Amino acid sequence: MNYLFAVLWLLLCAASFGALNWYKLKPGPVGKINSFWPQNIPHEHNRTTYNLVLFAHPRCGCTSASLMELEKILVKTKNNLKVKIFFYHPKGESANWSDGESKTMALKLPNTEVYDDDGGEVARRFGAMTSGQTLVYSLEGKLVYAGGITESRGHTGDNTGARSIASVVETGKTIINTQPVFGCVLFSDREMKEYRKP
Amino acid sequence: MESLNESITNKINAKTKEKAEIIYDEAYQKLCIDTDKVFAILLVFQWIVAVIVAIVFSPKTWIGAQGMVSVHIYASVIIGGFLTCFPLYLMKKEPGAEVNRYANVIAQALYSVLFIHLSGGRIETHFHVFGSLAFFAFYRDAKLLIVGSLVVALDHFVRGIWFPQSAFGILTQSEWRWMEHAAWVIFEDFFLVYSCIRSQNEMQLVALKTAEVMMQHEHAEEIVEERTKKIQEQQMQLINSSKMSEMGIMAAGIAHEINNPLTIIASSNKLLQRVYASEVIDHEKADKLHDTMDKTVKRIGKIILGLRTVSRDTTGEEMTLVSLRDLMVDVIGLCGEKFKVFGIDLRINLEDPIFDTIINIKRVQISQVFINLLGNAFDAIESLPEKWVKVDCTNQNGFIEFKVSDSGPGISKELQEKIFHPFFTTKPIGKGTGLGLSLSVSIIKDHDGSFTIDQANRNTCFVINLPVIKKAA
Repeated sequence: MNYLFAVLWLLLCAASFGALNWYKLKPGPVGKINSFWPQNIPHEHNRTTYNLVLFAHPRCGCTSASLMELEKILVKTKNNLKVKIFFYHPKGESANWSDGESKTMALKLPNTEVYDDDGGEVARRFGAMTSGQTLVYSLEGKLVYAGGITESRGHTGDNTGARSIASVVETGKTIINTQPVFGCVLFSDREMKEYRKP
Repeated sequence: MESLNESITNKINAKTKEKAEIIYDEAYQKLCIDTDKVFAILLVFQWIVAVIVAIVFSPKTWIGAQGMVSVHIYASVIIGGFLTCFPLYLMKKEPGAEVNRYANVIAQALYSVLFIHLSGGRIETHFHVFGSLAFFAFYRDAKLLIVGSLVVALDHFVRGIWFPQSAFGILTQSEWRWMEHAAWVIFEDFFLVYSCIRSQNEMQLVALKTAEVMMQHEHAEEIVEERTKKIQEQQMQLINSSKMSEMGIMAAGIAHEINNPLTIIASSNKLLQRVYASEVIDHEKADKLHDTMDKTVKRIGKIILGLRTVSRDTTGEEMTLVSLRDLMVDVIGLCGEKFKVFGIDLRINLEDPIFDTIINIKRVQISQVFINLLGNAFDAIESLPEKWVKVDCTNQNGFIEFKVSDSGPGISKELQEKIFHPFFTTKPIGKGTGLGLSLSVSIIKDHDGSFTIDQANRNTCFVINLPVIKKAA
């Protein structure tokens, strides 16, 4: 009888871990991403190196994993990559709402500029919807990579996105590579409705 | 053909092996129950840690500015709860059961998976797997190590194929990467399995040695029991032979006891012959003589009855309830006449109500003790100018205290140490066996009583204490 219970318990555990995996591997939404660096934003792309833009939710637990992976990418690509990180800042919230561990971590990264993205305006222009969305543009401002740099929510470790970026920067290939993004959604339902307005 | 000795040795060996197996099983069961307890603590501790890790590292999941409780917190509470509560339930339901070990090992292996999830695949969390393997080895069972390792390997395999990143942040292209991790687990297993097998062998060896010692101890106990029985039998034989020896000594006294009444009968008979030979028969005188003869014959009868009682085999004598008066009447009936003849004043007040007291004794044995004591007193004072023997009896806190004293000058301290030793006697050769007092002490001790010398008394005084039962109605 106890063995029967044990088998049921094992099935229950397997189902629980299955559900956890399903959640962690469920990609976030992605907006319409432009093939070129957007024109109507106050940030210019660098014309001497590749440009990496990361959109992050400052309070999402997954952001630290993305930042850790970004750090590895920066080490691999040396000085051939300039990074801009936009931390989501909800409209009407205090100026220090997006301050915290993730931002502090981001500020320590080399070749990196960190911005607060008020109301997710910049993210919207780039077509980012999920924290961890990473876009890489060539020297000419052409999109060469769009996706996440973690393989599941908040999980560090070797992943396809990071290797693709490193490969693009190292070889200079310009084929657009896309990957799913795993992380918190950057916009609230109300903001999302506005976002989707044409 | 197998010799008798070989057959006995084989039987002992088989019994020892059987005992060793029982000892080993008990020891292993205790080890498992103790290890289960360690796992119970460990599982509860890990559950708490898992919840703390989830709260600290990923307390919330966000949609814009709206934060919600993180799935990691639910996972730590719910999955941690599954992994902890079921093994605890099994441990409580049937402590030490085999299924508990498997549940503990599987739960511990799955905790590694949970922590890897909660820590976001931090490579350091993989040390949990190796730490857990060491915990599995506490059971000293290679099977459990293999089961635990299989769970880890299966988890690696499943994730390696379908969810590579969720487990270890491994290179996605390699479906065989899980084997590398499993290989490290097997590497550690190799040492732990070896250690388990060695520990099991040691436990079995210890059990075998313990069984051997126990068997030897049991054998020694059997020998001691057998020898004690023999000693007791020999002691009883000694008591009887001593009694027969004392009987020989007593025969002289008995001769006195019977000789006097016989003289009375003989002289009464002569007188009767004269009365009947005369012309006028004096009927009154004849009746008196008949009466005297009748009484004297009855007295002889009593003496013979007492003698038969005392000379009876006391081996296996049952305890009986006897009043002190009846006991003393038996004793005095056998030796009183001797005292009278030799002019020794035997002082005992049988009218004292204390003699109504009833005690539970082996009547013949206790009678022998008093006959022996009075006989010793007789021998000691026979030739003294002042000759008396006194028997006092008092109730002392639930014990009847007999004091048998005589007019003798007492016993020197040197002799006091020796007189209770068997075969020690101060009497001339052939008169005493040297067993009387030592046997008397043994009889009194057998009655939960005590037999001592009253050192405060200036005369010779022996003190016997016997437990009281009740007073006669």
